[in-house]
Amino acid sequence: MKPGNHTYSSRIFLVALTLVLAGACNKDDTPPPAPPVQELTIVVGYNVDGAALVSSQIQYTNAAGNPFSVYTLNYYLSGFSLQMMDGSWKELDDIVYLDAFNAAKNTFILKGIPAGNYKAFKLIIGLEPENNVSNSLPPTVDNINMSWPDMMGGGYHFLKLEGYFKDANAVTQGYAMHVGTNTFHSEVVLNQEYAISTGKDTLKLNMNIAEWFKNPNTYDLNIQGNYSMGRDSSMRKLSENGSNVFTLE
Amino acid sequence: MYLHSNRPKTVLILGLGVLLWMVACTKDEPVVTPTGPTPIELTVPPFFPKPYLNPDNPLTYEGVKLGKKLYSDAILSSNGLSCSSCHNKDLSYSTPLFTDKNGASTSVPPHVNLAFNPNYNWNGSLPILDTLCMADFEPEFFNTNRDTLYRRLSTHAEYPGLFRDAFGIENINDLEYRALKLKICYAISQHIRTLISADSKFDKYVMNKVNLDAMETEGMSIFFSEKGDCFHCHGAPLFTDNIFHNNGIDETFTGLDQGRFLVTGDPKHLGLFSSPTLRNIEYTAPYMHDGRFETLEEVVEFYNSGVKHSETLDPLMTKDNKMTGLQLTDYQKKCLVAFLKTLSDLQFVTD
Repeated sequence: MKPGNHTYSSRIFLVALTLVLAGACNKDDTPPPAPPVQELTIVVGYNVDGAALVSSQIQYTNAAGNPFSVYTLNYYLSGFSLQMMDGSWKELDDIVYLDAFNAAKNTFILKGIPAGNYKAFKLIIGLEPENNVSNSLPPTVDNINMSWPDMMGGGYHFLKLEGYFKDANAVTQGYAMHVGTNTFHSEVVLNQEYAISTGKDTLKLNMNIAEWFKNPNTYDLNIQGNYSMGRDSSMRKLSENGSNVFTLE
Repeated sequence: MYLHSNRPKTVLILGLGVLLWMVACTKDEPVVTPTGPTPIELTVPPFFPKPYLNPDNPLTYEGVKLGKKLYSDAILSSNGLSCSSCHNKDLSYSTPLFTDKNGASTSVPPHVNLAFNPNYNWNGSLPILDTLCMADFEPEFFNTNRDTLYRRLSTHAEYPGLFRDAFGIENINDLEYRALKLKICYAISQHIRTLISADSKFDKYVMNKVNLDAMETEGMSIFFSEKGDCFHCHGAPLFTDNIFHNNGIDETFTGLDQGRFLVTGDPKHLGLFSSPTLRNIEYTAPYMHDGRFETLEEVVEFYNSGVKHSETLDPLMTKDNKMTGLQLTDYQKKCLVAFLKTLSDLQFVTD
């Protein structure tokens, strides 16, 4: 009995050992595949009333007749929301910094969007009040350069649009259209049907920079002034115009 | 007896089990041999961005140690100069002026918070910190003698060991000359990355540890508002945006005054220079790329009344109030200077 018992217990031990070994190496096992994550790549393009955006000499004319150029265009997009055909909205928390003259800063990915047909796309240029808090965004070089001083309301610049223009005396001057502080973000609603396919897909947004000076407020750099920061009336005009700068391709 | 009589078999099974365990899990538990330099991480102050690091030159304790020693050692030169000759710690690792072989003077940029800069020199001619000092071996700076450098380093009591510890170099003489210079620069750049200044009175104020006095507070209000509009190019926490601007000190541009244009050849870049950090600005006179202003008072007066127009004048400098001057009172100008001095980090220049 004793030898027989021992053989039996040894077998049990070997089985147990095998199980232990299998368990010990679980972390080597390939994890089960994660559910597919829908990735929507947004590519942002730019034009000035149809003309290609080039950072060079003054070559564009705005709605007020000011010849102008574009030298800097930095801004935030946030508040993304996609409306499905049943009327419900898929809202996202992403906040994205964009730089028109840096190709790497004009493409971003939104995740977790169900495939299907959609009938509208909403976004915000700038930040909603709950996100427009000083030092709340990660301290990247981009974000710290977009800081809006606390003594001017705090938070971040929503928009920096800078360049040069010919003033009323045909002298080259600079302009700096800076928008920030709560309530001056631009709400963009694009009522247009589009489909997002399973896996990965791409949407293209186009910004017509001329719209910042055009619709609904004609912005004359000689009259409204060549800078806007801290001037509520100027920032309000630009904010309202911002609602019309994007189209969906 | 029972146990004893079966012990060899039991030991065998247990031994086999242990062996199986080891084999089965080998790739999870690699044998780590504690050799090579010790990786370290920079302590990034609150609200600072991530530093620019080079994966080809990872920061290590041994690398920084070697770099710190080389930084202030004239062993690299044939004329008694070292990095610290022009980057004096007392002056926030700067020096008043450097005059080049053509007689042009340049204000020497301080080595402060360079880990957070994407480019170097006034016109951004160098995009990588790790090779910043390669030019220093040239006749205009160290006038380094190749053979002397090899001899001095390889026969030195400490350097062979320091190079071995930092980079695994067993024999300095086995390195090609360029490779040797590159390793020297790598070590020095590691040291420079550790030169972080973030303990000024302003920093303490931000952390609610001290209060600013009335003049400093008034100066801060001017600095961080459209009144002075200093913050766009010199915002906290770095007090530089690391972007190139023509701030209006010239109307025409020749020689080094052409700034960024000398790097890019783009006419839009005529007269543009990288915004310098204002941290420790009190220690780094004279000011502007050519050191034309001796004092902070002169700098403030320039922005108050001396901005000159040109085709490339930065848009931020042509805002309505800039072209008519900031119109600061004498008291406000003093307040602005007082605030600038709150950016001085005494510990940084004395420790």
